[in-house]
Amino acid sequence: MNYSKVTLTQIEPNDLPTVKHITNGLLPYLLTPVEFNQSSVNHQYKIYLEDINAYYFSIRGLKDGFKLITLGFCALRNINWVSRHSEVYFIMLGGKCTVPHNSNAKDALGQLLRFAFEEVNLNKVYINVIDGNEIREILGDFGFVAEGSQRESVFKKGRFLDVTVYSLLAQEYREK
Amino acid sequence: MIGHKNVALKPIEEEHVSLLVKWGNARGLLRNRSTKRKTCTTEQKEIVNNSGDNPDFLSFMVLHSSAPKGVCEVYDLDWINRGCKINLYLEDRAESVPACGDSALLAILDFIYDSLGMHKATVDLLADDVVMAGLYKKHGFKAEVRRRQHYFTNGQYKTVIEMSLLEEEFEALR
Repeated sequence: MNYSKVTLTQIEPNDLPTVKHITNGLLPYLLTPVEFNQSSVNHQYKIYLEDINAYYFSIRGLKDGFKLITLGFCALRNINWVSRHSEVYFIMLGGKCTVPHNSNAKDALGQLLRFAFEEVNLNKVYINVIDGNEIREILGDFGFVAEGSQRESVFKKGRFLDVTVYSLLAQEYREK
Repeated sequence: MIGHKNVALKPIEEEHVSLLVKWGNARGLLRNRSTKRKTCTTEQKEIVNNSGDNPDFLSFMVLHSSAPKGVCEVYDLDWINRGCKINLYLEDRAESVPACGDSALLAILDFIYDSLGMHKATVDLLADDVVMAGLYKKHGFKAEVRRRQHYFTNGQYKTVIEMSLLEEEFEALR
């Protein structure tokens, strides 16, 4: 997939140090309790490659107008092929959230949704958002709807946090 | 022994395989319905014999006055966030839910909170499953997520309701 601002490509082995850096930088907003070392990231990468219920992408963009760098990662994962839904996984550094309020993040999320609904033919995508991850506004821009809140379902820094589930149906995507 | 009043939760043995095939192919085991594939004796026997291999999944035969009435599963055990999912399948609901539904659910909940030390139990139900929703609600479960068009069956997408019960809510009702 190739668009003007950012490009979604397959994750390559030389992306893995960046995966570690970005993932560990966004730990407060992820289910992962501890930081990854490089070995565990590499191991996880092998699992990704064999996962037939997921598509993982590296988000690449131009820096200073000419140098292509990795900005983050995104995925459709836990795909249910019968009920045609998938979880959206999206991480990009830039503030107190996993989807920063900038045009690159919006462009990348837009491409991922286009892929989900126009290429993979899903009926629904959803995203789980931990309290404190300030992405509600950006999800609203894409038409995501809050389906509810999983009470006290994640333990971080000595307390249980809620997780809000947002979803977008194919019909809503097309209308948008 | 895990149990409550006249209900006991016992390990599933090979002798129960034929019942598991029958119940597994009946509608109701939402968790197992994602592939839409019918189950068979060989598959169920393998699941029973390998049940000790998966630390995040526990299943029990629900016995009411010593007669098998259904299956109870505790799965997606999350030891850090101390949450888990449960699934209670009872055959012949019109009869078995009033007769042993309360005791079976209380037996599972006692086990989850007192033996496993969980903080939260969650169950996924089809929105039109009013019988089981009523049972869970009676025991303090609260609907927290309404997953739209989340389960495809009979040619249409159905809404799935996620209900949950926190440890302190269970203690308050005990």
